[in-house]
Amino acid sequence: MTSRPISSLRLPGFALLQLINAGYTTVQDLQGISVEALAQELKVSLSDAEAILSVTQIPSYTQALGQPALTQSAASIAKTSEKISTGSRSADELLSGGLSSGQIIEISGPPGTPKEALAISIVKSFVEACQEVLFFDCQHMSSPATLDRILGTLGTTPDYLRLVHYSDITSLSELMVLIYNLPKLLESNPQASLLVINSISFPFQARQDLTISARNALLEKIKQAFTIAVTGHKLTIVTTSQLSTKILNADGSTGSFDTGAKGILVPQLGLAYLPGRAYRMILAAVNNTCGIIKLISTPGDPHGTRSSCSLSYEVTKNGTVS
Amino acid sequence: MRLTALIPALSPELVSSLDKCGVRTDSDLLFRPVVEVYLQLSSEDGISLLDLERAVELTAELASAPGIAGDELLAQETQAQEQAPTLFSGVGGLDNLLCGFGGCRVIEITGDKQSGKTTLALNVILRHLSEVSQARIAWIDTTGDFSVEHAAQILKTFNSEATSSALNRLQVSLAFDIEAAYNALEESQPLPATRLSCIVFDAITPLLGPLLSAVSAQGHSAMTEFMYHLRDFSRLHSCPILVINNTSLLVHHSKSASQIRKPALGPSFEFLTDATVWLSRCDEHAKFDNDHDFTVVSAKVLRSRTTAPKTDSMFKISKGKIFDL
Repeated sequence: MTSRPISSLRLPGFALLQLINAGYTTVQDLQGISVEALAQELKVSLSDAEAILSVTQIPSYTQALGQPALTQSAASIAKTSEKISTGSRSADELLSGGLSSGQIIEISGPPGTPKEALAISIVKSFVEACQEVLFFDCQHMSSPATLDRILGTLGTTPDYLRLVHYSDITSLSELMVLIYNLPKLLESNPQASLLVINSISFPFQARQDLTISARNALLEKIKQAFTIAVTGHKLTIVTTSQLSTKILNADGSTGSFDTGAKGILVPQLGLAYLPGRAYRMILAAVNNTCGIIKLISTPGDPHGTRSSCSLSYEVTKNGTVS
Repeated sequence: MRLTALIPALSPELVSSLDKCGVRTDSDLLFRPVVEVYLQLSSEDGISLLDLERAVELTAELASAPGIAGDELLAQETQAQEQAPTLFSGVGGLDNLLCGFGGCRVIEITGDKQSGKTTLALNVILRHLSEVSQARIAWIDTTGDFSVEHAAQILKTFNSEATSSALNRLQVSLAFDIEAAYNALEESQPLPATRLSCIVFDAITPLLGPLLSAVSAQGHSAMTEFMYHLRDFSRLHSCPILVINNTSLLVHHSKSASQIRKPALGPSFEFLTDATVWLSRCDEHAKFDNDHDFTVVSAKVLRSRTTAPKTDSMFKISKGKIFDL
């Protein structure tokens, strides 16, 4: 067995210092020592010694705590489970049938497009399939009353009041607290199979004082949290986002308002917060009730270099998208 | 090394009386004058100066690294090289650069964004997985960007019996920090039934980059320790390790200089691996026809311990697969 250095383990500072002073340099040195002997040698309490020894018993340590295995074969990643419909025929067609567990989709569009309505119809499909949903709204666009009204059309079974957990997010700090606590949240709600974050771009929009590197660091953190949640917990994640204008020069490179030749609307947060396996959908309204829906990136083509087809959607009177 | 680890050779009473004086490790014993240690020992233990001197000699012998003759070392290395798995990309010029991508070495693949580093690594390992049915490969993903679709697309072009089970034998681990990377390495230890043929780190820059700082050497020491650990792992298990590194900007004092990029993680990272390959796109050769759109990439060996450096070769990438020019 190769000798892993003790400094690579997650130990508190004083414990590491004691271990190094006593001459332990690799994990192999700590094999076969009892808790009492270690406590005596390092002159620490029994509980500290036990904590130190438990950290060194890897990987059985992580397995025993029931933490999700972050190692899986590529074949199991490729295996797609049963698909749940999004509630909209065009969106289903773009996603080749619907949403399967472990997928991440971002729905973006200008104001007036039914992004939130599409997200709620996805929630409705999941509730119909008796799956638990965690719903977070960052811009007060979908109140509990709206959810109640739309899910109420399902009737009393399944009990949507128990299956859907709703929470408001009012600032960027709250959003980052959610992201950092996502593993714990998923552990306390092990049945959750859908996570919806409405208007995830809004907390960033409200904080123009962030430097580019700080913003990128936060987006990177979101990406990591999503990747771990999707791999370990088989969660489906749906986010909605606003758009912002990007100015391009005549040759296609990024320009400024002075030099630019055309402007395009792109999702506000860009690609930085989504793992490579995400689907990104964009909606464009033609008039009040109908418009076009299109995929701008898929797992096989994250930068959207291949053009994809656009389908039309229609919003019915009671707000559902078809 | 602790003195208690040397107990069968040293007497336990000697070790415990040395422990009472605060001498616990071999460096404590060897770097203090013998007389000073002797004077600190209590007289009831009955240890003579001669015993102590013999113990110091024995400790020096046991604690030192064993010497090995050059011809033995050569024989060992050639034997290890023969036993290690061989990985090829399928492109003749590229394989000649480093005699394939196998052996017991740590190979760094570096280059700008979209220069084909992940594509090259995927092609090499999927080719090996489809040729050798018992092979198992560990892919350690540090950015969450591993694409199964890309891998499946490349696999479609290989036709052999082992192709259908190739994805089963490709293990993908997520590691967003160094500790998780160590854990992932432990998890991918070779099992008795299957053979670990390669480990790929895509990419190593997010793991080690944040640790490096201008005010403290701790990050650099963590980086060096991790790379030495990889090297020991590779030699011990006869398993090549491919490390994908990103680039950073070369800061020029003259502002008129164009933006040149260099491998990230500092100038010493090149010396922590056994070979470094630099990939760069040659856009002037690229064509975008309807049926055959491809990009041409040039691969250059910046440094190699075992083969001639500064050699280069070109290959083309089309739809995620590598072809000869």
